[in-house]
Amino acid sequence: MSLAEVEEIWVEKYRPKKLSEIVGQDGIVSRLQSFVDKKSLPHLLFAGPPGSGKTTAALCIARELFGEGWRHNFLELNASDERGIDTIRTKVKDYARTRPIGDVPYKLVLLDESDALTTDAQNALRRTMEMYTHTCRFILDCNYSSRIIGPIQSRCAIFRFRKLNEEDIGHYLKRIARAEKLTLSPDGIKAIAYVSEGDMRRATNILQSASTLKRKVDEKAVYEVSAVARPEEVRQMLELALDGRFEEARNKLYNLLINQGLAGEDILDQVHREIFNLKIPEPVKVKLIDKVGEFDYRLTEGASERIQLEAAIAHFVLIGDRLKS
Amino acid sequence: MFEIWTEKYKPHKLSEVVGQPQAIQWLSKWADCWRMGKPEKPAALLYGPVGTGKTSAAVALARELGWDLIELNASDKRTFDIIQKVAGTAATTGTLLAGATGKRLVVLDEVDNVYGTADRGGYRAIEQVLKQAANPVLLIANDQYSIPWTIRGLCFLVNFRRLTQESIFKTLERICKSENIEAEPLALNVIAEAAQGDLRSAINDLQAVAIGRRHLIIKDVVVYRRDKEVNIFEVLGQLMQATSGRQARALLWALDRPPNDAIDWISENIPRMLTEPADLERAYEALSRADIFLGRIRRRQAYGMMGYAGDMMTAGVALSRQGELKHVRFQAPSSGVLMGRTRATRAVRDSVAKKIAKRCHTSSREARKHFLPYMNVIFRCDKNVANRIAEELELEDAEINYLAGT
Repeated sequence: MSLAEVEEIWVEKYRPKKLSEIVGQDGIVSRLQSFVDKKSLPHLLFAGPPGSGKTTAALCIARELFGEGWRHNFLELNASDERGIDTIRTKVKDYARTRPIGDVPYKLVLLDESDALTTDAQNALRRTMEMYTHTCRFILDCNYSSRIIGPIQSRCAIFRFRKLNEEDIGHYLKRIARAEKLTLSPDGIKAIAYVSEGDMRRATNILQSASTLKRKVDEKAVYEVSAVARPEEVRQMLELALDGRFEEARNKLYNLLINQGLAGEDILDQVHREIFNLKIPEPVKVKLIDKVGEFDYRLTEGASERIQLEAAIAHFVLIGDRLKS
Repeated sequence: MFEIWTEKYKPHKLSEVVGQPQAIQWLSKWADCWRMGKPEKPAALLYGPVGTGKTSAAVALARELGWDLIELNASDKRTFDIIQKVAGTAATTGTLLAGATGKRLVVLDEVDNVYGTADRGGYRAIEQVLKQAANPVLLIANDQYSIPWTIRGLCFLVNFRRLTQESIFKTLERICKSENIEAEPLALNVIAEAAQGDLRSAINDLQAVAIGRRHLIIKDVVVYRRDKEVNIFEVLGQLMQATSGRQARALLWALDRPPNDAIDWISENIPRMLTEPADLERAYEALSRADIFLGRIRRRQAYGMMGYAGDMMTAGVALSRQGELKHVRFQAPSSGVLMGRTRATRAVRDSVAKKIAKRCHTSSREARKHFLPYMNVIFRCDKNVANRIAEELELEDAEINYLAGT
């Protein structure tokens, strides 16, 4: 299956195609390479921060094991989009129990963000992993292995991917810059590494968008694009609320939701980060974060973003008022 | 002998549908194809704002061509089985038992309301029905983007637009004539304008003011419109004066709105009346709880939760007050309207995120957070790159416009 002849999104265009190209995870890569060379693969559990190479490693394994037609024997599911037990019971099971196509011993199932699977779904998965070992191997990606139930962990070889540092990111970005004939200044690399928080996917996106601003990517261009990606308005909204100006804060919220089209979860995510930048006592920050988490949870329960975010603002108003007196 | 005018004056033929020349033309074209055989797209999706004539057009079409009409709407439980049973058979079985011209028209109304666990499989069922259909199927929805593209792709798209004030006015005039009511043009124009393109609500308003009258003047209309609004505001005022839970919850009925609508009115106005931040926080905590119940209702069709939602947004809010009340001017909820208007935009945002997620091996949430903002920059700054990315992701025009911010 040729998904697309065009490869313009750099995250895909420059995603390593071979295990040996993966940056910053040397120990893990050499172990995985030996599995692939011997064509013998246990179930795998990859844990680690976003953008550290987990999905890429899984894709590389599939490519190197299966060669050209790797997609025929490879199923990829993202658990945070399909987190229910039904997916596991039907899609995964149906796939796992049929024989692989061509001359390979088994198929591969990649469950991305598998810590988003409910416990029920994980239990269903555990049975499936056991029953179809002869036709299928699983690779589970997650941020925190502790969110994966014990029985699954014990069936997997666990690999912990480390967060990438500035050097790793620089190494990879320079490769892209060379291929794209960009100038990438050292302070530009530093800035991207800082803003991306060690997430290679974000780093690549920042570089690509900064490069459309100008062909010489430096610190300034990086901060310019990342400012767009992180609107000032969230902080302004919080400051208005802490100042007791509820209605004005609420209007800012409507602007974020409506004109900028941000999702409620994303706004709360930014509220969460901004709390650390606010000029309020540290213990209060911790309490606010707890509260924001509660509203975020309510959203995942199906509550409406507008009411919940307004309620969050009301809470900030109350805290602001207490701090004044 | 009381008859609802919106029923009484329903169009009997497609040509009688008001103010949608283009949509009617497309729809007839599609129906003609069916008369000659099976068209490439066996289904048509009629989409557009409320009260613009979508359902009326469907009914008129069936009547005009002598097709049997089989209808499902959101009040039915749309599980896979039911849709499959009702729509599936009608659309796929032979024509022996059907009407004179041998066709059955299956109408799935309010398709954008297929959600929740109880409707599990609803979209899948619809998709399957469309793929097998041997009879014409019409899908009706307010917002085309809230329908999965897998389904949209199988449909012939027919857009119904908001009616112009003029065509609403003319319809009202015609109704007055046939009802023997002498109406001031200005009065009808006020009604037509207030309807904002929704013919059904205009006719309802006309009937409400004109019933039992021989003459209709502007003053009648103004008084009616004011009564309609004043009532809600009065109830909101009483709500914040309520001192017992029983008193407060009784007011929900007086608001005369379903809880999911009432919460918008309450949250728009109540916060502005409260003077104490602590009261504000408590009131919102109650609203937040009410909203959670509404969410559970939406998700799981747990209509039994409606009572809790209603109580939290009335009694919960009223009893959270300890401090003084401020006197404010009440207003209609702004956010609800705005959110409604941007629903289409948000649907586009989510469909872009989904495409990116699929292409770049990640989740939609991650795509929304860490791809969309940068894509925005790229689409605004470099048209060439943007075009290639659009091709790579197979983006549609609306999605490209969303990313480019146009």
